[in-house]
Amino acid sequence: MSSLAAEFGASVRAEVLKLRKRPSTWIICLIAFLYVALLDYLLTYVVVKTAPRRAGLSRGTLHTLINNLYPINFVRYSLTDVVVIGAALALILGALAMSSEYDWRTLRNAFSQGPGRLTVLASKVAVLIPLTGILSLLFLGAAALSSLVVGSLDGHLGSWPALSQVVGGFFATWLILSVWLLLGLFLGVLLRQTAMAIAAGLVYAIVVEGLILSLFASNGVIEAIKKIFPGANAKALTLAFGQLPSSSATPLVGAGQAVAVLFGYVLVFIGISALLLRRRDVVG
Amino acid sequence: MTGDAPQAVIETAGLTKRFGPGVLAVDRLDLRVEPGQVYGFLGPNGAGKTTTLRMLVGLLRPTAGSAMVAGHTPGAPAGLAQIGVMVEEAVFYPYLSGRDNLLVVARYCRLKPSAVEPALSWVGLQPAAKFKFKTYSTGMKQRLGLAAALMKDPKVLLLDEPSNGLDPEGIVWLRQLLRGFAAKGGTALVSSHLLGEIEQMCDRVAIVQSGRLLREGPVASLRAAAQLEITAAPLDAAARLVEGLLGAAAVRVADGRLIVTSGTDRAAEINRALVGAGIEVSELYRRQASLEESFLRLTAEEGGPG
Repeated sequence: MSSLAAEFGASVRAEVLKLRKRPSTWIICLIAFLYVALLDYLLTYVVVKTAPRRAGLSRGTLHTLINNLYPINFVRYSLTDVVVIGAALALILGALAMSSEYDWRTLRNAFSQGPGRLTVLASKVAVLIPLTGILSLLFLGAAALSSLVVGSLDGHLGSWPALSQVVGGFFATWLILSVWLLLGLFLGVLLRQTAMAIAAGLVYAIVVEGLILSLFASNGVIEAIKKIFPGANAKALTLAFGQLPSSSATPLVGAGQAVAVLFGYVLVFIGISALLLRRRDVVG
Repeated sequence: MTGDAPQAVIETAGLTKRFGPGVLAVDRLDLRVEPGQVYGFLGPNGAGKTTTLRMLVGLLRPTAGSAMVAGHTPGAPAGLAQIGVMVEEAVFYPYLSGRDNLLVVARYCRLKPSAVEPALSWVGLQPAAKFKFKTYSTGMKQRLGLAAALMKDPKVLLLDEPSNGLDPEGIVWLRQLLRGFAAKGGTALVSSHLLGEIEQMCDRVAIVQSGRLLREGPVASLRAAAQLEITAAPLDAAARLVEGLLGAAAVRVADGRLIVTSGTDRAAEINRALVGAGIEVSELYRRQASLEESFLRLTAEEGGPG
């Protein structure tokens, strides 16, 4: 048992080195931060503040949009990013971590050095999941920082969300990002090619979850099926933290069910990846 | 196995790998490599050498048959801990330096980071250790692969075409390294299609073609038998005379010469008989065929290389 633990610990250290020195890891983190700070906060603020009267937006609408950006809403506002851009970035991170090993044919190095296949997978997951924690902090941190800037510009620094909401928002973000990261990792194992894994994941996220399920949302059957999809459950979990002033969406399922389904996906993606990795030949 | 035979370090029995219904890559392969041997695994491209090596380290699962390496089934962590491997060309993370790539391997092998510098030094890569792997030449990549294989001080080396991309100096270095490794009791299985290299660095050789073992044995025994080559005039009369001495099966005419394939120890007698019959003998010599000729003859009999 201690030998297995030592093997796992050694593999984790190898994975940390690989991930820490890989430029794409930090580029993805930087994109997450810049997306929230520049596109979500700065751009929205500038557009709303400089909107010409002829744009047809009422004072009430403009006030609501600006309200989204104040510190009191930063957790809720950050969560709207997490289910869209956060999901995409986490999926790419997971796909890159696994499928690049096939592209570079380096998986055979890991598998022929000593650690078992499942140990290698477990160590990858053990390093990637904390990384999604860092990504979650970046999303929340960028939102908090940006809302602080907006709030100080507009004199709305008084109200901040309760600590429980911030902590809950962090864990919700972490869970959502972990699900999408593990989907990317699973697609990497399944398709054994980075481009295919990322393309398949993004097509699923954008076309299946984003378009098809949304377009036919009023259909009773689709609505019932949608309750088991990761994107729909992630969205439901974010809505459990309350509505943004500009939002009128209703959660499809309760927070408890959403968390259960998302945890289920975590286990399913890890389980199928382990099964495939253990059984399949390493031909590359 | 007899009671006197040493325990095999690498042993396969009926090892078979089939990719789908149509491709039989390795066909009932029986190999036995004893401690302290540098064992050549020779065959043309597509003969099944790499597939066999991949099965020996557990990257591929055999369709049938079994294998044991260093006392363990292929892929078992305890066995892999004793095996240094380089399958096909050396591949590493392109964004990491040579040093960091070895550090990754060291961590997978549960070695101390201090194992990296000596490994870099063995293969002469210390000056380039800080450069990214993607900037390495083919020879440097190969040296890094060898460093990774040697770093854990293995008991068994499984090397696939290890001299690919190495310069002549590097090839000599590799040859010495393998001989030194075997002299210290290590066992190496080296696959190659470069017959000259195998001939110079190996004790025993297995020749494979289309996944099947054609011949196995010490290098010397696999060389084609020695033959006499005689240039004489008139050639027809010389051929008749030698046939009379040794039998028709022992003599053939090729490229304007007589080739005598048996009774090669009777050169003096043949020469005397030819001269005595008034045949002019301008050249008569005994030639030891190389492993390359044996290999080409064996593979040609089985349908030719490729």
